[in-house]
Amino acid sequence: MAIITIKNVLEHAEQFEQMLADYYANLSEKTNRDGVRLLTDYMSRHRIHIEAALEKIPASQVKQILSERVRYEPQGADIHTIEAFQLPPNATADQVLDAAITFDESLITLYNQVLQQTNDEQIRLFFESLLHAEERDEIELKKIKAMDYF
Amino acid sequence: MNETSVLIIIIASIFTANILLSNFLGMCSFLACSRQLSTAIGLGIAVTFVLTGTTGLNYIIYYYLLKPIGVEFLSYIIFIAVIAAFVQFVEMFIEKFSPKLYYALGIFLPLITVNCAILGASLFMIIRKYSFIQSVGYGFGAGVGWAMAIILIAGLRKKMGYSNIPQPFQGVAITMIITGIMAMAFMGFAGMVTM
Amino acid sequence: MSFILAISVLCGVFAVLAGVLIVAEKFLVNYGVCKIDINAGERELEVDGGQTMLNALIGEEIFIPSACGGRGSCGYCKITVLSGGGPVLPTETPYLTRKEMRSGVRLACQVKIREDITIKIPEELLNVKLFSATVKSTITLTHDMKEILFELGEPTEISQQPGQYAQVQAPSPEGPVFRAYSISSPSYETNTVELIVRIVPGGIGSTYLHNLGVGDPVIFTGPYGEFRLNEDPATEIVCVGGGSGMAPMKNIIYTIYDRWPDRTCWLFFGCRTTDDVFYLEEFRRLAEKHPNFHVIYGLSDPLPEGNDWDGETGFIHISADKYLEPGINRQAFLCGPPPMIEAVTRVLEEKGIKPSDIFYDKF
Repeated sequence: MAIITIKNVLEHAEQFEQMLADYYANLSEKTNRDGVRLLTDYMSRHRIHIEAALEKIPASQVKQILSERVRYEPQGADIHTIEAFQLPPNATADQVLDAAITFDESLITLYNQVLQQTNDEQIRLFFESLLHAEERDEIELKKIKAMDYF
Repeated sequence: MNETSVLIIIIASIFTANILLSNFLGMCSFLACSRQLSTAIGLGIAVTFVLTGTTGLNYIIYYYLLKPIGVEFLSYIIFIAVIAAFVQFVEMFIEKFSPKLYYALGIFLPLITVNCAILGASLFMIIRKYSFIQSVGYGFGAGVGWAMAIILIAGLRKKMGYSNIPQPFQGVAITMIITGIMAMAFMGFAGMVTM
Repeated sequence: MSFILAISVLCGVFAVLAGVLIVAEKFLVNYGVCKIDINAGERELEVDGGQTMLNALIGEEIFIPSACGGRGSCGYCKITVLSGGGPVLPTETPYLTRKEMRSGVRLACQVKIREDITIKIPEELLNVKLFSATVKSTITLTHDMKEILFELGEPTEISQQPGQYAQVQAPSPEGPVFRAYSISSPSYETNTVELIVRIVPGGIGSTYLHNLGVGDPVIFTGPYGEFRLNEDPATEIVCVGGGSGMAPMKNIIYTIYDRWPDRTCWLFFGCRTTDDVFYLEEFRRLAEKHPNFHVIYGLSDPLPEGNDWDGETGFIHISADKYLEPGINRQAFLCGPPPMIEAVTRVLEEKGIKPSDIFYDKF
């Protein structure tokens, strides 16, 4: 457990998104399955998109709240979860989707951590929107998995 | 005739014999509408108003109609009908003449037609043999006490929204628990006044 | 004697109370007939004032989703009120975001009609009805797919367009929930509704539907969705489905060949293995009757040794790229996971189909 600022949280989330994008891009290059290539290519571009959105917002909207402090527990968006999922080049699409859902859940944990600790209206609104985006993404991944195409 | 002074009755019904915390009446709307502070305040004021009005009205009906004819056993059903009609009437009345007040309070009125605290107060007033003034005072005090309890709990629930409650306790369960704790805290007033 | 007295007292008191209320209602709440303008003049209703918007709309057979029955505790019955209707009530605020409040979104069950009101509701809701039906038949299509046919009870007819979907009510631990499924029966079959459902482990809707037996009752609302088939028979139709995305295609194809037997239509369907293939024989028989109907199935997993698969292999956008010649006037309907939609859209745009003519289900 550590005490960090909202700015740190956002930087951390951004770094996590960046790593995810790289991770999918890397998987897309290495895989020997067409389906996994299609899927990871899509997910990588999607993560870059989210990361860009994260980068843009704090500067304009929530500058004054960046120094607010919160407790941080390491299970939220732990960088090591990404490292732990070293998928082999012949990983199936289902394995990739399971990993992606785990990553989404760890981001959801991170945003929930912040939400549980703050009463500040502005911070709440901002993190609620991040949380909703991430929850929607998780539902999308689950639906892709349920459609059984890849 | 009960000789307690009206002031004592009012204070006692707010603190020591709070209708919600000591009799646990009116729990349904108490649990349902205590999520937001503003809703709780509106509902609390509406309950106070209806309680004051219906105790007075029911007093008149009981002592000047039911008792002389000797049909006191009808009091339960008649009280309920009077309360329902009163709530309906008041709702229509303020909707017509003060839309502003209607939007602040009136919308809560249908919610409290069947609030058992209101019937409870009318029945207590008979059992305790209050006079007219005492009855109205008791109705008012019980309403204020109920309003205070729901406003307090709404504040607590708002605060709780940000805390990490174990899943099995979330929602009504934790509200019941803190209501119990609050009831115990209010018992601390018990020696202050008796009614 | 005392009984008669008691009963007459009771009746007397009730009569007085009722009388007071009736008189009060006459003088206090008489709003007359109010007009509701829906979607800028698209429909105009004349309803009695004093009731809630939700009840007024349901009375006019416009079904706004509502799970709690108008008590203001579910937050489903959102509509946009453009004028009239009074301020946002404290009973609504827990269910509305600030953005919604600014744009006039209200809960229909809390808006009381006291004056003429202008509202906006999603177009598709104007045609939506609540159906009760019974299961007529269930057919197992593959190891995890079922075709389920409902016979409509009340109302007895549905008017649906190809590409539209229904929301089936399924029980869940938190009370009934609605799950959306595309309607696969052609639109000329007005007494039945057919769904194609893949079982999803842990899925509430699919588990419920897969466990239904013949004769079981079901409740659903519909039809929803804005896809409109191009009515010009010279325009070719391209359907591309992947995984479990077959239901809307079946509806489109059968509707087309009912109305235009010579129209050109392509069906591309992608799945993983031969075990996932269904309806292929049925569509091939249809193609024999209608020579302009082209059926192409593609398998994405590598074929095992000794397999006699005579269709395409590889992902379905590759097959689409192979078969479609560029520069023909077409309308396309896609159904599948977003990465597939993206890949197919890219191929179709290369073939000269305008983005505005490519439709797909939003996820």
